[in-house]
Amino acid sequence: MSDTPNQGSASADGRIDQFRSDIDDLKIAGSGQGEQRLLVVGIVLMVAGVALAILGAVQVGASGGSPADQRAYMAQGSLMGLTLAVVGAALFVRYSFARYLRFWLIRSTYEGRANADRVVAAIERASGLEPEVAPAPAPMAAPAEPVTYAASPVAETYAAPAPAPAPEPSAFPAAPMPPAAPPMSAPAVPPPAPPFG
Amino acid sequence: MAGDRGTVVTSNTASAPLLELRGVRAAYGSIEVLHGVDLVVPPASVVALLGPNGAGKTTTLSVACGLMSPTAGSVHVAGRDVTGVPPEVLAQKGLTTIPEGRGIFPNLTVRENLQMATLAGVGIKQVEEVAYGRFPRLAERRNQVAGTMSGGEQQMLALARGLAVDPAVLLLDELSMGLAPLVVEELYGIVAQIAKEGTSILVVEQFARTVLGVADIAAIMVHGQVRRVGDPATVEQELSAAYLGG
Repeated sequence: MSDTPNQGSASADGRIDQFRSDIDDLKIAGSGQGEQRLLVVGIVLMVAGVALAILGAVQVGASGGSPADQRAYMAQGSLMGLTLAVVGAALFVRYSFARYLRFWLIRSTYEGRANADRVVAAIERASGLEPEVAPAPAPMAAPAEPVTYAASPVAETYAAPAPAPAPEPSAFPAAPMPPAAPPMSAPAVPPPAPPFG
Repeated sequence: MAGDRGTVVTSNTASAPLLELRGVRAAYGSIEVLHGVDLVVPPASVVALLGPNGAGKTTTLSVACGLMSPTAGSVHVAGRDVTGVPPEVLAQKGLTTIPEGRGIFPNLTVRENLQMATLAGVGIKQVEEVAYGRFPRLAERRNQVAGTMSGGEQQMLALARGLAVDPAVLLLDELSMGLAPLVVEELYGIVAQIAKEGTSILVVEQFARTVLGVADIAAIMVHGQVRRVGDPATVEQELSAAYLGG
C-alpha cells in the first residue's frame, strides 16, 4: 500500500491536461453559456431594433415629402427595426423566463421533498407512541344547587357589581322609530325575447 | 489522512479532481438506490469504492460514466458539470469503463474484440500494440474466441480494450469477480502499474482486501451512501463494522 499518491510522469500530466482541455471543449446541451449568449443577443436586438425604428422615423420626417423616399426609410428603418425589436424581445423573454422557471421548478421540488420528509417524520413519530386508553369523559351533571359567588373565595375579593340605576328620563323626546322596511321582492323577470324568425 | 463521511482527504496537491460526484441520487423506477453520494477522484490516484452486495457501487459507476442519469446531484469531470452527457462522448474524451462481467464479446476473437476499441478513433495497430505489450498472453491467443478463454484472460482482454484508448480516468467494476486469488493479485498488480503511469482509477470492489493494497483512498459505501472515506489502513479497520452494520 502506498502512503503517497501516484505521481504521474510528464506524459501523464500531459494526458491529464489534454483530458481537461477535451472536457472544456465539450458542447453540453442545456449549459448556461448558450442560453446566456442568446439572452444577450435578444437584448442587443431589442436595443438595435428600437434605435433603427427611431432612425427610420427621423429619416421619414427629413425626407422632404417624397413618398418614395418615405417608403424606403420606413421599410429599411422603422419596419426592420420593429421586426428586430420584436425578435429580440422574444429571445429575451424566452431565455429569461426559462431561467426563472428552472429556478421555480428546483425550488418547488426542494420544498416538496422537504414537506414529504416532514410528513414522514411526523408519521414515524406518531407510530412510535404507545396509544393510551383515554378515560371516557364524565357526563355533564346538573349542579345540585345553584352556584353562588358568595361561596367562592374569589367572591370575597370581588364584590358583585351593583345593578345599574334606572336611566333618568331624557330631556329630548325619543326619535320615532323608522317604519319597518317592506320586504324585498324579487325583481320581475322580463319575458324572454322571441327568437329571431 | 482519515476523513469523515463524505470528505476526501488526499495528499495529492494537484488541482481540481478529474471525477467528482456531488449529492448524487439515483433510482430504478421509484426505488431510490443512491441517497446522496459524494465522491472525489483526484488526478493520478486510485480510489477504491468498497461495500457489501447491494450497496449501490455499480450504480455509482453507472452514474459516473454517464450510463445512468441521476435523479439529483451532479457529475463533474475535470471541474465541469457533465451530468447528462452521453457515455460514448465521455468515453471518447478519456473516461473509460470496464464493466462488471468484463463486457467482452464472447463470440468474437481477441483481435476482433480489440477492433471494437477502434470506434473511439484509435487505429487497430495502436490498440494491438498497447494490448499485447501490456498483456503478452493475449498476443498468444489473438485468434482465439474470447468466450473460450479463462476468466482472468477475459478480464485482461477487457482491460486491454479499455487501456488501448489511453484513458485519463478508468472506472473498474468488480475486477476480481469470479477469479482465482492469484489471478486477482496479478490483475491488481497491473492496475497499480497503470496508476503509476498517471491514470486516475476508481475501482469498485466487493472483496476489499485485494484492492486496498493498491488504493490511495478508500471509501466505504453502505445502503446507497458513502459512510467513510480515508486512507486504506484506517478504512480497513472499519470494514467489518461497515459490512455487518456494526
